[in-house]
Amino acid sequence: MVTNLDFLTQFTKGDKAKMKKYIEMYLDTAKQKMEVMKNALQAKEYETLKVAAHTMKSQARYMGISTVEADIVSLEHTCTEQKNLEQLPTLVEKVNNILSQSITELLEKVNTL
Amino acid sequence: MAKQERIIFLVDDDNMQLQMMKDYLDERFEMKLYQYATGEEALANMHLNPEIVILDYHLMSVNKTAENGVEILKKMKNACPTAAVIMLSGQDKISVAVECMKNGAYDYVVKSESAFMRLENIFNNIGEHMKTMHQLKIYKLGFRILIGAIVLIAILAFVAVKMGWASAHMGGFD
Repeated sequence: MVTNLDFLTQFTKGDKAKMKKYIEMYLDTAKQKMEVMKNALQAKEYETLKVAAHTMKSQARYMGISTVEADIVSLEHTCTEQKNLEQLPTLVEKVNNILSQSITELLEKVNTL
Repeated sequence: MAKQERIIFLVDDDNMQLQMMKDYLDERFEMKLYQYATGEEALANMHLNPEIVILDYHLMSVNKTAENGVEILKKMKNACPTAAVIMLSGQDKISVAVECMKNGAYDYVVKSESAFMRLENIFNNIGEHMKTMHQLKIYKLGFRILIGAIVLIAILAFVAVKMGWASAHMGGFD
């Protein structure tokens, strides 16, 4: 499991409708930003890549996805500094793999709410 | 006198963050909330005189030409100096926080699980600060009235003494 909904449960005081609303918002954003990151990497648009990763950083925190934060920070840093750009494909792949797994887990969760 | 409504602006291009802040603050405070996805939209509405603005530092994820938070912060403080602008950011960098505070931000909050509680505390502090400032204004006004009254009494007493002296002397000619 890459997600942990303890924070969201506490934040919504267990309100299932609210949890569903936030999870669906996360799912929409995650799917969209994964696509943006992939395309930006191919097009070498590093600013776009950085902004997309940055958006996912806080959203992932709220879904308890702690494993992705370090890679997102590295990705942002690499895009800002424009150094060691060769590590970007690996970073994007790692981030997108974790986000993909979070999408699978949260889709299952949303169906039970 | 009708109680003045607290006006709050939330400025963030992250829809989920915006919704979570709105829900959290709505449950805890009586206020009128306005939500904006860009700083430019918020700036165009500064005439509403917001008491508090929660402003995201990065505002370019939807609109790439949007200005960043610090540029917007400067313009907001220029348009409405009394507004308490709380900067919100995904990055926990001291240099960014210092830059925001130097440009007039009331506080700097990192987007994390504890951000909502921090915002609640800051809102309470601002409320207390506003109350104190309002009381101070009333005390200042009261003090001015008191000084004015003392001066007036002194003038009246002086005039009365003068008139008493004059009538006493004029009586001497009768």
